[in-house]
Amino acid sequence: MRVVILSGSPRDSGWVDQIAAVLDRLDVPVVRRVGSAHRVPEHVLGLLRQYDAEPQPTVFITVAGMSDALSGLTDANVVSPVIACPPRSDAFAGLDVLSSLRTPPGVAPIVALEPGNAALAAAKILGLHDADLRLRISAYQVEMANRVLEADAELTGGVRA
Amino acid sequence: MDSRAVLETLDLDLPDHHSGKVRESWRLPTGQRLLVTTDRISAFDRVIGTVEHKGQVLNQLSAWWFARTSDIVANHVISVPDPNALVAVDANPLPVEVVVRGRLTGSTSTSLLPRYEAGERVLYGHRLPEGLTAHGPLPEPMITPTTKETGGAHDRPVTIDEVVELGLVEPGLWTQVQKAAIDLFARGTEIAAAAGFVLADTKYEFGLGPDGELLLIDEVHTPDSSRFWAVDSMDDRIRAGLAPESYDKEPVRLALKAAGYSGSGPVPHLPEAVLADTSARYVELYERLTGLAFEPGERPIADRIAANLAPLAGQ
Repeated sequence: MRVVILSGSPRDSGWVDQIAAVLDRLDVPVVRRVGSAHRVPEHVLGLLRQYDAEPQPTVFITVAGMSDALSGLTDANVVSPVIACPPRSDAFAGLDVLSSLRTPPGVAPIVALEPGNAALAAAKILGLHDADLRLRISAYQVEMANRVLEADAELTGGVRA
Repeated sequence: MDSRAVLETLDLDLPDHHSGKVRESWRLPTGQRLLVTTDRISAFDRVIGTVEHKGQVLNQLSAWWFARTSDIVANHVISVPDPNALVAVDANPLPVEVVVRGRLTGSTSTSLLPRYEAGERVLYGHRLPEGLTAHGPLPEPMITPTTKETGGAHDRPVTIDEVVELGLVEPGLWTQVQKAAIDLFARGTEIAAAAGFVLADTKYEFGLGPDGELLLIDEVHTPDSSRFWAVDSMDDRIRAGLAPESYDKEPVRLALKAAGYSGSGPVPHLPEAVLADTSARYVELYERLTGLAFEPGERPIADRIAANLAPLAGQ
């Protein structure tokens, strides 16, 4: 079991770190690679063939900004699930994200815009066949919920409904 | 959970009360020690909740192992007056925990695997060869002692030579302890294997009895003191880059980590399913190792213990 995080550029490493941090918290092994669909397509295809041929359950997370060709290229060439998680950009009113959302028929990368959410979605897919991982995901979710309840309790004098 | 279903704390009108993370102990009128194992579970050196049946599993499993290892080294057991309680010799504990490791594994900074993967080849004074695989067997089981610090200080790893150099244990006695630990680990490995488990590592504690004789004390080969892996899923999981399926506290530790906890700050509330799963694993481990059916003792547990101990406590 593993998540292969493929980023289009070493400049995306901060975004990749945020994805990897949540996967580490859930104890899901991570492999990090860099490969641009525009600049080094052969390199990317080589990586994809290698990881997709290995028998262990794999989810790909693709991280590419501006014009995201990486997510579609990846999804079209692997049978494992692909989650596109383009790094946040304010340039051009954030319209870059459209390049991750529209893909041709038969090319189906899922999109998660928050790095932690891309990690959680990947973990849930891998958790379908791992009961232990599902327990860890449940612990993660309960903690997220408790944080909200505790914040509310603090406002109302420490009483948790 | 019904608070009567678990044993979290216990008050007994007996002297010299010591409260550990999981066990409570008192001195009996006979001078012997009474050890009661609660259902508390600790992780990251903190008590983080309770697990149904855990105290009974630990107490009865330890008693079972003590009986099956007494030909290797004498132990502190006198009687088991209750599913959660043990009457023991009031031994003087040696100031060292004797950890024995059979596998290249672990995830914390003192564990073998992260250090080996970072390139270290001399660990706890043992030289390891190149080419060992993650979670695979070590060339032979190795003893990695830690000091027992008091007053809240964290235990400190030492080499087998340092145990003598630091004056923790006399050389002759330390040789005897090491031999016992290796033989105990071999026995544990063999019995676990027959039940479909790998005994990956464990921790022993030793003490000296009233006549200065060496005794195995505390607990033996329990899922609190050891790491047990399910053999049937192990190879597939290791091939898939995963740690083996653990029948011990590891799932709880990982769930706490998933909840963002790393040992400081408030302990997160774990989902009931995590603690229920741990309870099921502890019971399954007990049943498969011993070949006995687990029969939960009567409840409320504290009342039952008090009743069972009344004759011993002189009440």
